[in-house]
Order: sequence, then structure tokens, then C-alpha cells
Amino acid sequence: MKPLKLALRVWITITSVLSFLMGWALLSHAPKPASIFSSQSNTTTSSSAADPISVNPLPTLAPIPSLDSLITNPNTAVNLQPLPSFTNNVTTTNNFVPQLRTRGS
Amino acid sequence: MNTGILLVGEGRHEAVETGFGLAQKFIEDSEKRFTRFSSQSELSSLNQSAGGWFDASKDMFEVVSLALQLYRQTAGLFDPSILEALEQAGYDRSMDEIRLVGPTRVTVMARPKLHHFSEVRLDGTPQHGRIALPREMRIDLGGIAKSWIAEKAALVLAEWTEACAVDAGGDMFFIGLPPGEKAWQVTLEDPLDEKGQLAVLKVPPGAVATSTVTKRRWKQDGKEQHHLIDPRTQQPAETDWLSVTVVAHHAAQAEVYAKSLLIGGPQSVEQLTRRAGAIEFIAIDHEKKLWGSKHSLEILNV
Repeated sequence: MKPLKLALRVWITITSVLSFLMGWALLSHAPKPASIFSSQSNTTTSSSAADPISVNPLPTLAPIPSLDSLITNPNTAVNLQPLPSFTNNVTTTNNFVPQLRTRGS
Repeated sequence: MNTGILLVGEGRHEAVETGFGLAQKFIEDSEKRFTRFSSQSELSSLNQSAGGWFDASKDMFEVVSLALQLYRQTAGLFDPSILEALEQAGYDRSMDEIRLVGPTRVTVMARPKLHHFSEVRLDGTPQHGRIALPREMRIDLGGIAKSWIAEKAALVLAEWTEACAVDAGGDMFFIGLPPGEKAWQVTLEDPLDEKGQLAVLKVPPGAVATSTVTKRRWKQDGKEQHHLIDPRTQQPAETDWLSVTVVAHHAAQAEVYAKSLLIGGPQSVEQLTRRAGAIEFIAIDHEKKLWGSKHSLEILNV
């Protein structure tokens, strides 16, 4: 068992050292990451030959409506929607169907 | 009820005629019971008994129970105890008389209410029931009674017909369907032009009711008044909408929610519809634009 344990330890050590060295070499040859902060504190960066990496501008978000507007603005009520307005003649397939109107009181 | 009533029935001629007769008798008896314009009515007797117990008929007990339930559901936007404010606004006699000779009373400031409608007490069963109004409270059951009568009359008529409808001044109740039809068709009237129409609704069996501030109007001391009192101000309601039509399972529910949504306006929609359960509504604003609940498009006949 002892020779087997020793061989396993040597193999793990060599593999770890080689993996570390390969990772070091890869990272040292990779391009440097661009900073999203420029000296002009502008979130938009233009694409140019000197600066090949560009960052898309951050999206502009609409302001969150206040609770008051939720209460007073009918357009934001969940169970309220505008409906199409149209004139439609009452069509019936049978003489029995009466011409009823909402009228109201 | 100061309104025309339309009875519609499909079936054998003799049976339908009998049904019409019985439904008409029920409507006439009910009107005598629930009118506030006759001192002989049961409603007037109930109002005179305020402060003590009143032995109520089965129908009166049923309608007052329903009114209490809907008062709570609408958080008081529907309130039958606004009668004094209604009279002070000028609606102190039947609409026919007001149109003929005008309101009698002059404008006075509404007194603060001493009691709330929730203080009305019921005792017993509908068959042997008693009602106690708080002292000095008088109630008006006009709208809710009209819709309740329409539904009950339709149930009477349904015993003699295969399909029927009762239309009491815009409060409608449908049982069954016309032969070959998938729905009842109801024209959504333009509230500013009674001959005009804004849409056609396809309505399943059940109830439709409309409340509007453009009908039942009069002038009091040069000021335009109407019959829909806002219980919060005790004055005729200033509304964002001209009319609201509600489709529901029961006529009283449709009538009360149409009135409450009209008085409460867009701000009240979420709260009222959450409590109401299965109702759909269509509202018409001052520019004649239509607004509706989530599934109201399904009842518009496009």
C-alpha cells in the first residue's frame, strides 16, 4: 500500500504545480479587462482603435409610479382598462329576441 | 317605481300569458310594499317605527338583509340610510311629480348622521322576522328593491316560460336564452343621448344593471341635482363617470355595484371588484370613452 500512496501523492503534487503554471501563463497572455469607469465619469464609452472594448450604455429606467398615482390614475388600476367604442346594430336571428337597452337609473 | 317595466317570455302562448299576469301582480304588490312615496307602504311603516322593533314581511326582511350585506361589502358606498340627504337635495316626492312641478323643499344643510346603517338589527327568520332601525333613521330601498323585484318577477315568469327576461328601468334579469341565441343582447345606451348607443353587450343568463347621473335630475334653487347621494358627503355625488353598467349573477348585486362604482369612481375599482367576486362592469366617462373590468371585453359584441 505504501508505494501506491507515495505514487498518488507525487502525481497529485505534479498535476497541481503544472495546472497552476498553465493557468498563470494563460492569464498573463490574456487582454486586460476594460474599466467601466472613465475619467469623464460617463457610462457610455465610444468604440475606437485605442480602446477596442466598448461597454454598452446602461438602460434608462422609467421612474417607479408613486402609490398616490396608483390610486388616482385609472390607467394603472389592474381591473380597469379602456375599451373600444363603436356603434354596432343589434343583430338577431330570431324575432323573439327583444331590443333591450341599459337606460339606467 | 317611476319606471317602465318590460316582461319578455318564450313559450306556449297561454302559459306565457299566465306568467305575465302573475309577474305583473307580484311587481304591483312589491311596489306598494317598498315605495317611500306612500304613507301606507310597509317601508313607510318601517321608517316610522325607528327606535323600536318592527314585524317585517318576508320580502322586507329579505331585502333589508341583502342591503345590510351589500352595505358591508361596499364599505358603505351603498347606503340606504341617505334618505334625509336625498330629500334635502330635493328628491322628496316621486320623479314624475318633480318633473311636473319641481322639488318642494329649499336647500338646507344636511345634518350630520347620528347613526350608521350597520346599526340596523335583524331578528328571527324571514318568515317571522323583526327589524329595528336606530332612532331617527329612515331608509330608502328604491334601487335595491327595484332590482330585487326584477329578479323575483323573472323567477315567477320562469315557471311558465322556457326563457324570460324582466327589465325594470335598466335593471334586468335573464333566465334561459332566446332560441338559437348564445346570449341576450343589450344595447349600451349613450348616457347623454337616450336614442344613441355606444356598444352592444352580449349577456349570459343573470343580471345587468346600470346607474347613471344623467337621469333623474332636477334643479333646486338653480342648482343641478341628481338622485345618487355620496354617503361620504351626504350630497349628490360628483362622479368621474356618467354611467356604470354591471353584469352579475344577481340583480341586487348588479344594481348596488353599479351605483357604488359610479359614486366611488376609478379609485374604488380595485377594492370594490375584489370584494364583489364575479362581476364585470363597463363605465362611460364624460367624453363618452368606455372603461371596463378585466374581462369586460368578452361581453362586448365586437
